[in-house]
Amino acid sequence: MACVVIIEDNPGDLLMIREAVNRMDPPLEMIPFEDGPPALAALCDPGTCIRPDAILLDVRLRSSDGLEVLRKLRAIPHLAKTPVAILTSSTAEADERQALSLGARFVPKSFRVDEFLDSIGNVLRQMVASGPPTTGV
Amino acid sequence: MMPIRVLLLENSADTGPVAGAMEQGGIQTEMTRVETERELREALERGGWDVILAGDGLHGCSGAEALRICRELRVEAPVIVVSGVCGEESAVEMMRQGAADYVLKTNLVRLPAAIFRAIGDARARAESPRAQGELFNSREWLYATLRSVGEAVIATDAHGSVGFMNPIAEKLTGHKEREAAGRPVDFCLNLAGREGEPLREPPLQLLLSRPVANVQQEFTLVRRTGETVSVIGTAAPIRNGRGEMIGAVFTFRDITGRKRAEEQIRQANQEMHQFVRSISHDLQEPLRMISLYAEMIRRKFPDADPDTQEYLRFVMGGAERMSALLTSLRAYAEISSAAPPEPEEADAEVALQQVLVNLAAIIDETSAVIVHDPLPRVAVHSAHLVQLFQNLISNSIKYRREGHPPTIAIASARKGSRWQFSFSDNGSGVAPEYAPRVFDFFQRFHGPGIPGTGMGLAICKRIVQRYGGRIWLESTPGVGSVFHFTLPALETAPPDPADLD
Repeated sequence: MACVVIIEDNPGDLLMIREAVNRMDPPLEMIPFEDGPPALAALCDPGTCIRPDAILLDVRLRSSDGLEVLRKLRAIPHLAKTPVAILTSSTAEADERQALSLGARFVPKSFRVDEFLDSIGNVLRQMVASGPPTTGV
Repeated sequence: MMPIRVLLLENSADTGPVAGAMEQGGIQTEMTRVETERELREALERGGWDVILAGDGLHGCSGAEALRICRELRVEAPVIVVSGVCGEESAVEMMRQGAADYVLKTNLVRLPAAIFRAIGDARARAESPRAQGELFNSREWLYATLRSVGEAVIATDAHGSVGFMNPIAEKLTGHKEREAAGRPVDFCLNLAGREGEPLREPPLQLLLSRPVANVQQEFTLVRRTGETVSVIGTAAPIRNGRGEMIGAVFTFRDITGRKRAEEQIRQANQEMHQFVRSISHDLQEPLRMISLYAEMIRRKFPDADPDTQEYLRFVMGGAERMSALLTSLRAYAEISSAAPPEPEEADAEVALQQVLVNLAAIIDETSAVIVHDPLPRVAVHSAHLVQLFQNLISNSIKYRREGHPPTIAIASARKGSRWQFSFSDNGSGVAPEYAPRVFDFFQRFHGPGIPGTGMGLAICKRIVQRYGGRIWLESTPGVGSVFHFTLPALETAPPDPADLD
């Protein structure tokens, strides 16, 4: 089963994302983290064996900036090419440009339930379909 | 050397001390003594005196009275009061009455010098009494003016030596005129560049070395104490009648306070903008939760009673409206903030096409028709132009008349350095008394049925004003409205590609 790591500190948003993941077909495993540092620690630790097919990352986390977390993720060799989507409520173009420059997608969080579920569902499908990061040649 | 002809007014026959003083000073005199007013008048009528020495008085005639008589008879010879009375008041009084000098009998050694100077001054005056007087007057007038102007003034001769400093220059530099006079100007005027960087050549020295345009410039003045103040100053040449540079003058004033205030305003604006940005962003998040979960509750209870459903619609509607307000607030704050990275140049034609795409849904839904003349390029950021056009068009569509599909005609006309645009609609119009208020914050002239934040036209006004333009409304209720506004034209037309080789 494909696996997605969610780094999101807002329980309301996490619940909506869970709803979107539950609707996925084929089903998708979801591993949530509430903040950047624990997520990074787990992803770096060879013992945990977390090899996500995609990562959803909130742009504004409790103790860290989402774009900063993205930069650190990119520095981890086995995550350098993993598809990442930045979840944001801001429409700041600067954030968007930065996310794009780091090879991440940019997903605005909607005020409407259907729009929210659809945009999360779509981005998850796209990321998982783009396949697991190819290792080797 | 001709002897000096002296008329001595003295009731005492003892002329010994005066004559002795003259002799000691090496002055040959021809002295005549008078004792009474009658003798005095006769002697003055005869004339031919080089100097008149007024002693302590004549019989029946005080020294002051004798001076008055000299004035009355228009005696040109100077009058020196030689008095035994040591009183400053009487001396001052005598000088006021026209005495050239005042010498005490106990200090007669001063008399020869006083006589020489008084005669010299009188001759100079006599040579060209009018010119001398005018010169004296205009000099005094100029000095008084220079001392009282609000700007600091330092003047030098052609070699850059200080000739004059007014009190404000003394206060600003911390140097005194009497110490600086005759010294090179950099003794009292220590200037650095605007940001404190050293100057290759200070303005006065530069001016004195070669002809330069006198431009007002900002400098940093290093005071005598080493403190620095920001000044703005101009160096200008002083020329004589033949146009030769005989000196230079530097006028300057302290702008430290102004610069500090400007910096404070700039910072306050920046903080305010940052504040509005972050609240409009941070408040969106809880609103989004309200909106999402009100909808989730509604979905969870599809069979809820109509009241509950209505309450939930109010919650969602309120959140949505507040979110729109926050977005508008942010847009409003950003208009006057730091300029967007794009140049201040946009094609109104392109901006309008963008707006038609953005508003395609509502245009389609209301069957709106938008017609326009060819539109010019203007010196405005394209994002601002799009926002301005979009707010005006959506405003016209919003206030359409029942049963009349909205029609909007857009035209432009060159007015000097600006383009005047007009957006005419066939909407519901606004009564004249409300016309000026439509550009105010949160003004909404419609019922709750029509969506809007009441900020659209306030944003339009802000955009137009940011570019120094004006926006106004002509409207007839039940017929329609015309919004006029002016935007800066591009000074030069873009080069024709055919001309570029």
